Amino acid sequence: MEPEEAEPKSYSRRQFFRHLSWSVLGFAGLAAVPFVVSSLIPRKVIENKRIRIGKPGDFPINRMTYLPDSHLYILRDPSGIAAMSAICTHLGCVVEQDVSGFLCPCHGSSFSLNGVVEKGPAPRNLPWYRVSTLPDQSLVVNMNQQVSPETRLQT
Amino acid sequence: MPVPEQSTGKERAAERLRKVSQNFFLHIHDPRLFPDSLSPLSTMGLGVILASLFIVQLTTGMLLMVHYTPSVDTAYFSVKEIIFYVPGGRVFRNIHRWSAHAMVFVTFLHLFRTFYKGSYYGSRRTNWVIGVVLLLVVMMMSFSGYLLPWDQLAFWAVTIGSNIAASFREFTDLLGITGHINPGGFFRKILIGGQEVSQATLTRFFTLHVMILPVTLLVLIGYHFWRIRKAGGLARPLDGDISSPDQIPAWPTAFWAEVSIFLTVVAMLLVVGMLADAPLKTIANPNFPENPAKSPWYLLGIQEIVSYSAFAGGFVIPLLFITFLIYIPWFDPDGSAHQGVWFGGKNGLKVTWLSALIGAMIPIVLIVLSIFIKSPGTQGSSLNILLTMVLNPGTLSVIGYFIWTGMVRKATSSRRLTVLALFTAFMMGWTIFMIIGIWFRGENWQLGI
Ligand code: FES
Repeated sequence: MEPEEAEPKSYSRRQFFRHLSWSVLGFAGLAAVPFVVSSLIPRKVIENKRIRIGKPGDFPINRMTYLPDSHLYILRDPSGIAAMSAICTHLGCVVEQDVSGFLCPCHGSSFSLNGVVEKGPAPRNLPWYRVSTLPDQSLVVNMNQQVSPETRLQT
Repeated sequence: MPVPEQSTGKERAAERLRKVSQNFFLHIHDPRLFPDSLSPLSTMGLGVILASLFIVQLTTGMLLMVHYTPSVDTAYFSVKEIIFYVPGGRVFRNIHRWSAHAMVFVTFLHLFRTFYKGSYYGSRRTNWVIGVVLLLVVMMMSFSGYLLPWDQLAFWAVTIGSNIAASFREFTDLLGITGHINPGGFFRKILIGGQEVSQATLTRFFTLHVMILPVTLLVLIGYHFWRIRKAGGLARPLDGDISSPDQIPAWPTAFWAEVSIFLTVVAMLLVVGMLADAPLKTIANPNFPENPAKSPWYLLGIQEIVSYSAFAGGFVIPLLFITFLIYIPWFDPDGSAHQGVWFGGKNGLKVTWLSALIGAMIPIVLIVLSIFIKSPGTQGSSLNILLTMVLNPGTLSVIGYFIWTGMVRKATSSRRLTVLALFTAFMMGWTIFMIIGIWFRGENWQLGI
């Protein structure tokens, strides 16, 4: 039906507009992708990675105290204070303490008392975080900084 | 226009023509079809059952949505309100839940029927792929609804599920580049809207569940139906010629057949919905996981292999399986001998039985072995991570399945038998891991009875 087909050499106006429409549609679609994706990324401010946990005196000596809100175990022993994550490195359940270490209820990973994986499927050890003090003596755990399990904040 | 009682043949033909051209139903169906297409054994009506379940889901879903509030503070209580205060609310919720489970189950049956009857050849290829995508969307639909009640089960199932999405991290860890690029973590963040399951997650899952996924499903289902006609109509006799006079008019025969399936589905759901209550645990507590925290049954097979290795079980094996599913019609394109024949004939049936046996035996043996051989402690070294990825019942089973399939291919050099072997073995494996997950995993994911 289209008369243009009869003269193959010419690039008809209709063809031109068809190509133009498709390209505009395509480019508009592509251009929208980064905006859509970035709008889906949660804002950074929500992540609070430095947590105030109270004063050294709040923690009994030679015990690991669990802080529910921040998912941390706080260890206080004669040489100082340290903080370990309570989130299983397998799929993120909260590990529970038992006599010889920590146990994950979700798929049975177990960790030693200083967070080293004893039984899979957890692929990594439980991380320990840097603890520091504010001028008013309250403690801050910085979850951006990992330290070795032996590190203590002298108190 | 009612037909006069003593209408002439001509008038009746005209009346039929009017109905045919104005009838929405006949835009879905061919106007004429073979009586065989309606026989229960040819398609088992699974597609129509699924469509019926979907209609039930849309209806009950809208009713529930009126009372539900997607906020972490009130979601749980609004569900309680639906159960205890809203008239009929308990039954609507039960039906919605059971019908969702049924939808996943029947989708699998539909997949089995299509596969074992060889209905993926030629122009039905496109519809096979759409079908695989539909299977995934149905499962996502069900899983996203799982979080909405915000109870313990929901919270921990989604925590685990979203971390499976991030398990790609084990791979980047292995390469030592997680610090620079972490696609697993990025994807998880987009999915749950933050670092942990929270209000942002609930909002996102709610949007997925009531908007994005249903619309996707609706569009895909429409396309799925249309493709049936494009590919030559419903299942029909192999020698059936479309112009053959043995056909019957679709209206109203097929229509009433479909309505009766729909009514049966609704009736059964009503009975189940009144008798069996959908579970609701205590309100979500981010500090104490359910012990054991189990995902819905259709994901428990995956959860089981994830419990050996998150990356292999949650990422590699499912991806491998889906790729295989989609690839089937291209690997085995020539259906001249088996199209529409259950199991492709006698040999096929034999291979299917054998593959089912082997598909079940390999994981059972491996799991029993794993009780005696203690898995090596993964001290965080790359070698150990790699070892757990490979040396576990899940990965080893899959390797075993590929070896078995290779043997079948070599012995028979039939492509149809090859796909029959792999598909059956995979599905058997999935079922075995699912059964282990459902009945043999107790507290702390300990193996026991
Ligand atoms: S989440 Fe801890 S073992 Fe899976």
